[in-house]
Amino acid sequence: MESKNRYIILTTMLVQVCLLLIIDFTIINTNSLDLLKKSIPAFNAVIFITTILMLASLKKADYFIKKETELELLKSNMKNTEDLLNLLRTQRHDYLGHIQAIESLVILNEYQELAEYIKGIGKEYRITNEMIRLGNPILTAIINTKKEIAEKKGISFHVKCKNKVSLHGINSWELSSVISNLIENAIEEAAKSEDEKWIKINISYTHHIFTFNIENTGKIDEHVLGHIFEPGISTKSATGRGYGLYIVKNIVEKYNGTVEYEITENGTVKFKVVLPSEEESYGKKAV
Amino acid sequence: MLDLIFITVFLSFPEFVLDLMIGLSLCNIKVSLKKILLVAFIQAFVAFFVWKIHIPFGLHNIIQKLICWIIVIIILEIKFYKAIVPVLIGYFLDSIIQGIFISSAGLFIELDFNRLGVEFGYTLIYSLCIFIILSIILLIVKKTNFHFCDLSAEGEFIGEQK
Repeated sequence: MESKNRYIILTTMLVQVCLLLIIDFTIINTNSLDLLKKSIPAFNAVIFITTILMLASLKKADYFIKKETELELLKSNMKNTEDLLNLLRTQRHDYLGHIQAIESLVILNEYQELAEYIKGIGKEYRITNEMIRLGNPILTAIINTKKEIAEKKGISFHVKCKNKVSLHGINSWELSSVISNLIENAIEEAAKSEDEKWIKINISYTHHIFTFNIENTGKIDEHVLGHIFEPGISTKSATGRGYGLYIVKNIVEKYNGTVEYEITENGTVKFKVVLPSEEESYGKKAV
Repeated sequence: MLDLIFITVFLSFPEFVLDLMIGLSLCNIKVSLKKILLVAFIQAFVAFFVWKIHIPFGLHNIIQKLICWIIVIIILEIKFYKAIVPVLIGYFLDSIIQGIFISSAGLFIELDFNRLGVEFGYTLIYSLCIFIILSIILLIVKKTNFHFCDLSAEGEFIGEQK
């Protein structure tokens, strides 16, 4: 049905143009003004119908643009998860190799060699041991992948989470969109910072409500302040940008949550997402 | 009044062929020339009868395009919601060119639209000019491989240019 909608939009627009052309030619071809006058109600009806169709088409087109942006985000999130899985697979393969090597060293009674070998492995896999686990597979994947990206850009990435994040009623791709969008924005803005570069994520749980605080050392342009959650508002000039926070707001509100931002006393930017953990709290749209 | 058979065979039929070829090319639908000729032939045949029964101007265009749509669905075996697109694109381009031609030619010569289909020389020159312009457009579309939209079985995305 989705693809048929595209044809409906295209056909509507073409029908409108063709009808107007037919009217145009009818006017050119007419000999008397009387006939033209009699035709005015018909022309008005055609213009009225085509205008409604045009408006409906524009609305549909707008909907598809949003869907396409969402799809792009989902693709990016899927890629993050896939990258993390590949990393884990590679390391599992390496582990098997190391176990075999350790077994051989034990059989050969080379304990000194074994100690050095284990020390070496320990250094190599320190990063893996530091993997952040949040009790939610999609969040774990996103946060760890984004952490790696941020650290590569020289941004310190801190995560504080005391509770397992169990938001079962929220679609994983929507939760992924929310967190991913906010962290991506934080990375982009923090990377621009000339002084300190850090991102702090604090996830807390109180009274069946999860609060996600995402703070970074970046700045928000003055011209977008107050319009940040509107579609198409972006600090970047690239086409198709500026839908991330709009999508975040839509998703969060769908689950009866809130999203807001503040510029802290230190000049950092903090986004706060509040989401109820229980399905009963979600709005009708979420069901 | 000029002979309707002459107009149908020598003027309308080639125009329908070009309209269809441009419409299909712009939608990335590849069809054999034989099928296109068959569709254009049936459409010309229908147009002949539509003119014969003196349907008011304007309405005859709508009837012709609706019938053309049905013929395209049947002969080219294209889904109904896809078939309308090349038909309308072809008609749209043809009409736009005719409209521009009439208005721009009117700046240089005394052009009376009502003389079309009445005077032989007038109709022939007019149709020949439109035929040449449409052929050039078709040539450009084919050479550049430009698609307004991709309606082929493989392509589903509108607005794609390959």
